[in-house]
Amino acid sequence: MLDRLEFLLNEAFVSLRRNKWITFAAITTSAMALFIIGGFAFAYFGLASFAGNQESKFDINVFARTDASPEQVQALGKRLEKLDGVKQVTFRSKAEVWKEFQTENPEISSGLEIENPMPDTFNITFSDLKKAKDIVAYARKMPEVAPKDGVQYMGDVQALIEQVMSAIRWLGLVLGTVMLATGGILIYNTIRLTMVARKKEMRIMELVGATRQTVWTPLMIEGVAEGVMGALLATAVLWIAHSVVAKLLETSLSVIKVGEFPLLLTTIVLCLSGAVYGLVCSYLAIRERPTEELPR
Amino acid sequence: MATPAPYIQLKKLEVAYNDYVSGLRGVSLDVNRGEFIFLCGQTGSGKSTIIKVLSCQVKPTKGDAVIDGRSLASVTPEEVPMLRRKIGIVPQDFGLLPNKKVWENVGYAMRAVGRSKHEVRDEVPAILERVNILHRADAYPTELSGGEQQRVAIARALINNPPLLLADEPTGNLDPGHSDEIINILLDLNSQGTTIVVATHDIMQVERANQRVIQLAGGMIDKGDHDEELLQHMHEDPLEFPTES
Repeated sequence: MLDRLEFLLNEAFVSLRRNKWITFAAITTSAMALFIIGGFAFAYFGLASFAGNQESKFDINVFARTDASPEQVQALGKRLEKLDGVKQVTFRSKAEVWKEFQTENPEISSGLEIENPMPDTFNITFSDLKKAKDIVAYARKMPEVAPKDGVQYMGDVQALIEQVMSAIRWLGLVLGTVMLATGGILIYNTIRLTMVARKKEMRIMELVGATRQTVWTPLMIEGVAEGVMGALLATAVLWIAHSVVAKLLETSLSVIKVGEFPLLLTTIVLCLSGAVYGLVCSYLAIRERPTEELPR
Repeated sequence: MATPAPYIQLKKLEVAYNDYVSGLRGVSLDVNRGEFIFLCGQTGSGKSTIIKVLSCQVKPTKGDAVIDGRSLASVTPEEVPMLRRKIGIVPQDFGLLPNKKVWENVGYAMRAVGRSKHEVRDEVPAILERVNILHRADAYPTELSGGEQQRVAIARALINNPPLLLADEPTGNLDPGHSDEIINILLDLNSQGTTIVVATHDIMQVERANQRVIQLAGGMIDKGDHDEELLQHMHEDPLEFPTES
């Protein structure tokens, strides 16, 4: 078994050595494709995680009408709590809000002898950020809510993050697909060139009675090897890029803390993807071998 | 006592390469186990096509070819490798790998059919010895004469110890001396029980070997079975074979 494997691997690596430059091109293009897809996936999931961590910051403040009775305010709070997508509703009375304002802004409020202008306030955090818009629209229509500026909402920031995530997703998909196609064509061409270069060996194998698996397996191994080598290269470049970007973000935007690079997971995922990708490309190249060259 | 069935049977065998080119046009022929036959004829007469059909490189268009009771018309691609292991094939161009030594050329073929490195080490010297090329085991094909290269090609065809050996123009590129050597090796293998089918236009060797001769012309059998008149005609005018009137 090991002896057989050694023969097949040796056959595959003979081809890799023989077509050095086209192999190099196939590996680097596959690496670029996997790097782009992997890089965009990192950016996307990183931003999604960042947005998730920021969810508590995308809270809204709902202000009750100043002339609303305590019963009406209490009923408003209960209705807000029941809304789908609401995580928590925290009530702060107008007195608490006023006191907080006076504490935070002593230069403005000191010496003022005016009636408390602050409304009763509900602070809402979300369990599902996507429903924030609906909740805001619903709250604005409630009769107990102040008609003008009754809801304070950081919708623009959230919309911006969603747009960036969408752009990353599409850009990654388009660029990744283009690079994948290019890498695939190169692997395909490499295998086709190998078949031309090894025509004599393949003919001899067929004449002496080698099975189709014996003739084809080295070519499939070659495709898989190119995919995996591309994946390893992509992992290394991603790792370097991740540490550079992390350092930049942490020094320029000290609030952002970029997580550790998941080296093992990235290596496994990219190598598996590269192997499947190489296998498919080489299979397609072998399958299209002209019928007169096939062992009948 | 019943006569044993022929080892090879061609039954009204037809091969059409396309609508305009026919390789064979209804060839019927029986070859017994252990026989040595020469297929003779001009270029395009169909002798190489018979070799290709018997080695499963070409499928019959009509009729059938049978080896040891197995019909080649119905053989599936998956069955071809196992069938080929029962047939030694010596191609016209030797088909040696220039970057491998003599013993590696034979060893490579053995490895391709699943033999271990240990088996290669044990068996290659004996195979090379059978065709008198062991003394050049470490030479590269480019360092060998045409006759030596042909002997390596025959050695490679013997790796599966096949009961049938097919050789396409084995002396085609050789001088008379080397041609004698090759035919002697083939006769020796035949004397050990191997059925031999040789496609050739080398009249001198055909005459010298004194074996069964099948003459083909235009994809059909023209004359056969060691016809003195045929040999005489071939000897006088090797490029002008008599055709059926």
